[in-house]
Amino acid sequence: MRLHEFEGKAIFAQCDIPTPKGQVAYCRTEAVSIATKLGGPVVVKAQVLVGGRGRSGGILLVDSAEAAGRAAAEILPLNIRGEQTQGVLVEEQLPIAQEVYLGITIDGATGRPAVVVSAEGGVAIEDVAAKQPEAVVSAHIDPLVGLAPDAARDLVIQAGISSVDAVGKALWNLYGVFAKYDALIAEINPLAVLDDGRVVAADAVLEIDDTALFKHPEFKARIEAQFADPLAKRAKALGMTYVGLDGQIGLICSGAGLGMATMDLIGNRAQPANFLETGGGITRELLAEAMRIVLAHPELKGILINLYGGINPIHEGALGIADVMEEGVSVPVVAKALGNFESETWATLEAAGVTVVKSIETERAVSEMLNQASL
Amino acid sequence: MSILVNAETRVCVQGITGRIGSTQTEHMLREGTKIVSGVTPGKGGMTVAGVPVFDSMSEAQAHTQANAAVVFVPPSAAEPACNEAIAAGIPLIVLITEGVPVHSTMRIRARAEKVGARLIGPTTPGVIVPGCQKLGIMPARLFTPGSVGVISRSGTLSYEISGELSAAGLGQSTVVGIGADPVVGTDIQTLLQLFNDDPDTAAVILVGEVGGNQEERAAEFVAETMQKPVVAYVAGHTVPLGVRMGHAGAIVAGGTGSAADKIKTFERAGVHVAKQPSQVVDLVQEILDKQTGGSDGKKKRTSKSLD
Repeated sequence: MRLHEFEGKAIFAQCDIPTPKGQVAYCRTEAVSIATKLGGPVVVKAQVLVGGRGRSGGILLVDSAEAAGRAAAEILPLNIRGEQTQGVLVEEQLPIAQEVYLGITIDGATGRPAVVVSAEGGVAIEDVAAKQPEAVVSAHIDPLVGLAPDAARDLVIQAGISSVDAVGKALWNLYGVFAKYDALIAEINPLAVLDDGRVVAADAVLEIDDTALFKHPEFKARIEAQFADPLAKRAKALGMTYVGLDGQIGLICSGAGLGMATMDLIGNRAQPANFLETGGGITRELLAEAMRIVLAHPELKGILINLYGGINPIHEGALGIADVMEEGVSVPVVAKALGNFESETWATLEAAGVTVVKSIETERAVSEMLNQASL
Repeated sequence: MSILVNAETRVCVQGITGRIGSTQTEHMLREGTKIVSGVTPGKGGMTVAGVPVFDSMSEAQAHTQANAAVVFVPPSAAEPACNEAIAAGIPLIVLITEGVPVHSTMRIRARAEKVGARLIGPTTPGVIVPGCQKLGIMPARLFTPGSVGVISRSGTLSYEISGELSAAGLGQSTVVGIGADPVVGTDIQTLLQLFNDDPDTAAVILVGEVGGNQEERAAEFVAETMQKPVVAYVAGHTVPLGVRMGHAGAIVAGGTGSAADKIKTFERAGVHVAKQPSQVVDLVQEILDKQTGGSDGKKKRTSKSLD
């Protein structure tokens, strides 16, 4: 779950990383009143989860509260690279002497946190790494030990940053945020070094591992809000993953790899209407709900079900599919279901009017589906 | 023979009294898996399908000396369970659990690395040596003994491709699901090395998917070190950019991690790439036929493309 800048900054502030004075506004009037309270010039920033806001007109520097209101009115309706602006952050402008980069991510290759520091902040770190690799310093951290204050300072020195104490402390605190919140990414770009030597996080990128959210109940409302698509929300409530797509063939698959392979094969002749992965917790109720979610797609011409019975009791799931078939389904339904309890599964599905493809090859099931849907 | 697991493997099932743990224990026993003990805190003294249950791993080890653990505990209990197994000196830990926090996995892996234990998973179907032992949740009837090694990021695709191999008369030496998470205990190239050193594996199949850069790193290993033929399939050609498809791992970022990039990297490394799952078998068959100088009596498959 990716947090908005203002949410990330609130967490930073709690963890001793200084942030600019400011507040989020959801309308012009709010923006004016926040800017009035702050006094002086402010920056108005679109709250979206995609990068490149500045280039899309999502960040405006203004001199007065009235101008802040106009900026908010301009930014709030913006759709930035496919994402609707969720609010604007109105903040004090900072007397910046230097912009540095601090980032912590997880390196899949070593299975360890990777800390990245650069004196060249304020621009995309990938570009810095490509053009001046020597300007980017990185280190892998033992997750059992964490980042020691001395090690944080050493990295800052290596990166050629002069405000060693303040930046080192911010990096150490950022690692604290990363560990405490089970972050996949914790990034400050830029960390502003001010004229007086203080540092302030001018931006915040914080992505929290979805699988760790059970440890962070404070995000419950936030998690629910992130599902704009009510179908995706219904699927998630039962542990399934649903992604709505533009095609005609509804998909229900019992694994992400199998689901993507099935999507790829459909893509040869038609388009999938969705991606739906059941996860490892199939029950009668879960597959019935999966059917109803897929059936909600307006352009649907058929449903293709592709299941393996390993950890999943597919024979129980088949009863849920049959329940929905009984309610009346107007499009053809084709299923391939193999593994433990496959014969019971086939019997249930065939009795319910589902065409069962008994081959091991998903290609055959896709072919049968497309023929039945006349695509 | 096989990699990771052999006839001498003695298994302790952690979380054996749970709904999934007990069902899967029965399935594994049916496939000949030597399950010598189970652990569930507070359930010591019980038996599950005849397997004695202990309160802790150290107690189980004092009585039954397992040399592998298969873990079926909820995500929040995965780290303490694996820590216990590592502390008890278990050299192979197969973490089936789906939804383990990535930070937990990082710590488990770091602990395992410190003592030289091997972690497979999380979010893995496990390891199967067909006809010998199964340490996992895969439907065993799709697997047959033979000489093809399979490494897969996706559980269900490892079933599909192994099932197709079996149907074509090509058995498997060992099938390993490495797990679908952004951090896994054992990566593809470590397993490629093991298959390379296994005298009874003739060819290796690599089943990848969009997201991350594991396939790219594996391709490097194949180009530099691997002496046996490798056939790959990558799922997710049609996944839209930036969309998460179930697995935490299956997300494409701009430019990297796409199926097309992975296939290009594989081809440059000399890996034979199948365009769709059923082509994997044809490619493996061709390679093995060439190695044995033509027909070896195995039934030849007819091509069955979609068009």
